[in-house]
Amino acid sequence: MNGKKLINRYIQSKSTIMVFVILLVFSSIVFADKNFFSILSLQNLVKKGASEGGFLALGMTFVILLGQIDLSVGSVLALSGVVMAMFGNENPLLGILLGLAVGLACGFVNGLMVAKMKISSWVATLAMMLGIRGVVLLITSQKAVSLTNSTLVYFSGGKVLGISSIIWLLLILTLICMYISRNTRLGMGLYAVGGNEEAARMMGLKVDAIKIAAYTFCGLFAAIAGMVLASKLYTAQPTAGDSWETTAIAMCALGSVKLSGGEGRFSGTFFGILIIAVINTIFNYAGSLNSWWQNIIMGVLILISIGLQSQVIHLPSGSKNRMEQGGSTI
Amino acid sequence: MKGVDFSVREGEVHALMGENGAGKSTLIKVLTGIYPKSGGQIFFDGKEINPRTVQEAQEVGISTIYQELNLVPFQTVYENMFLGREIRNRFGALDRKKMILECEAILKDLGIQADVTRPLSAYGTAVQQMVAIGRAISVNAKLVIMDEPTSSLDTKEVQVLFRVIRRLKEKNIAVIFISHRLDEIFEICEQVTILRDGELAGQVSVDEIDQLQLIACMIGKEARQLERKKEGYHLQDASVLTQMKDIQQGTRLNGIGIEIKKGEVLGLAGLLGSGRTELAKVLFGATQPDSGEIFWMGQKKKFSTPADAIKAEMGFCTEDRKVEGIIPHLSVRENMTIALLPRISKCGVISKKKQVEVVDRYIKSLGIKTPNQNQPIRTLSGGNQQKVLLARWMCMNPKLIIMDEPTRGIDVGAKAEIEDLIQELSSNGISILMISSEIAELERNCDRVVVMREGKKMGELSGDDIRQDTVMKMIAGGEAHE
Repeated sequence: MNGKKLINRYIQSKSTIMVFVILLVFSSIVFADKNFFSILSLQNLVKKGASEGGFLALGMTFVILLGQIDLSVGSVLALSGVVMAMFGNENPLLGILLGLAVGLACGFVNGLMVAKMKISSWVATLAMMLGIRGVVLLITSQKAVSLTNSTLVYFSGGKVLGISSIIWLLLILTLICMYISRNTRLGMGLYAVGGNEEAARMMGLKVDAIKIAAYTFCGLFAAIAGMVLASKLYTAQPTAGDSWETTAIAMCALGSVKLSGGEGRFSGTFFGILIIAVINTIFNYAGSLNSWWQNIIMGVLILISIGLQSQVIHLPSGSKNRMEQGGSTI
Repeated sequence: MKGVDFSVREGEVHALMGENGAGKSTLIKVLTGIYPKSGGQIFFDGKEINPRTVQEAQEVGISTIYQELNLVPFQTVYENMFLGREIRNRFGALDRKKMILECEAILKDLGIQADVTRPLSAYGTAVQQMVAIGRAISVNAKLVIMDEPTSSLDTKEVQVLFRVIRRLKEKNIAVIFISHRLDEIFEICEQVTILRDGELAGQVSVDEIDQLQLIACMIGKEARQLERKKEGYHLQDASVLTQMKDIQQGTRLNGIGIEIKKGEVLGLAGLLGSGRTELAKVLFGATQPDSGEIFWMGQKKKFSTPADAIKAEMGFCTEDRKVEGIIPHLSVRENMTIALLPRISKCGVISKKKQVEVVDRYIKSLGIKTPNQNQPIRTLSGGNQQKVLLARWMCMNPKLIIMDEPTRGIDVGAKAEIEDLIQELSSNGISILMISSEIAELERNCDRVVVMREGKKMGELSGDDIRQDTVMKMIAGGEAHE
């Protein structure tokens, strides 16, 4: 019984990292001739993960910890990218500030709708997703805005200590998020509201303010994602980030962040980002495979990863506490 | 759980008792297939059974009615009754007429009158429980397990439940009855099995044991005195901490007023639904009254949120630990200090050092049993969870702590410790507003008791006048006027 318990605990806490390592080993063997396991391709891998939904996933984690969802991140990403490109070609600082501002504003409005107007987060952010996408298409007349300012373009190509600045940004933001979640009142508030909203209210926590803050953070990260992407591609596409909210949610789920709220860590999301990046990279290398397989495999992986976590329910030693707590486990 | 023998005869009402963590729940869960057993056998109706799921247990005739009812609130009563085994006509469509008729028949048989086509949520906990029991009967249960069925019922509803239990007995259906309320055990049960630390501590007929012996058997030590902890009433001259006047809120509170003095333990007595919790929530700013005034330390105040009340140095230990108290996945430390955070953080960043200090101090002084501060609170026993929640407010140095059913669902030993703590707090000048459905508990602990009924104050008792009979009389007093 004891051994089983140990294995269980191990699986539960390390499943995300394990999946990541297994995938990495697997792919470096399969693609040995293409030199998959080299510093350069590892860098590309992380960079890909970061720019294709990674920043969104960090922001999404705030909202998911509350037990809510934000479907609008893909649209906000596009809007911020476009806004930055429109204003940033002449004045890069203004472009960046405006890009961040629209992200913050969208997040703030999402938060208001969910916290103050008590609209279900699915409905509120779905409306935001459709609305903002419309705005983007309207202001760009459905044409891409190219990025000509060298400062803006320079960022994504830049390197510090031989490592891409995008990776640095992801690492730094992850660390900041980890700090916020464990060491600040906002962080405790997120877990408290996500774990038991009624209790949080009775403890005098400003539940509405916490919700608004979480959505605002989510919007901010979507803006960062949009600007990084535009910088990387030298152009801001009005259709950028379409359906990426699902990728971001998948990254969180793979990172053991419970969609019911109250449980999960930013470090988990970080590995979730890496897992999806590895899968994407594998499919790039194995060029002959139909890309639809990518989605199928991602779906299966999410099921396996969450299955491993909830497995604990059925085993006697690990299960007791969960049953007594009586709450949802997934 | 270590080698426990347990047997129930046909048509017997059998009490299963023990402190929290004694193994009651585990025993029930093994019996109903939620946990697998690591040894031993289960015989049912003379045959060995080995249920692996609740459904399998149900098929052989074991039904369980949980504390939290597993029914669908928005579906109608009859839909709930037949959920998963709906009656269908020969075309395969639902035969609603037949279901309604049968559902009515079943409930009538239990002595319940209800419009079965209304949603379940339209009825109170008691009726919902009857529906669950009716459901158990209609699947031909031979053994019905009730896990603390009375914990959210008022006295009248308990009587209805007992009537139903007696009806079950007539039908030769056995009942395993789990409750923390001793009086109920003696009223309804014939046999009692007592567990302690996963072992069998005794199985006797209820006639052969009295309350004190039963408690002694459960906690395994000399039973504590059930006497009043205070003598007389000495607070006539104490200063008034807070006063509520003519509080009106919907139909729940009808112009009630109370005052709490410094260092006083004020009890609120009354039946379920008499507005005790609602009144406390108004004082705490969790809900707003339609009219009425609140004075705090002599000044008129308005608490629009719990945060306001906390700022005025108030605390609220909520009635339902799981729903409004603990945050299950957070640690003991985080749970204990969550209300304190504004005071131990700078610019939103929490001082870990101060946090650890505070928690360490209270774990020691309250004797909270936890391996360490980082233990998720959900893994603690009910009594220890409650201590953490009390510590949550104590560490704020409050002037008033509201305690809504502070000893509900915790074992006798922990109960006594919590009661001692209440006395200690009040002797340190902290006022306490205590809500309890156990009159004996109010009698033991309170300086003064206000009796409520339907949102009105029926009267108040102080000092040695607080006795079960006087309180009951006052609660009942309202009935005569109706």
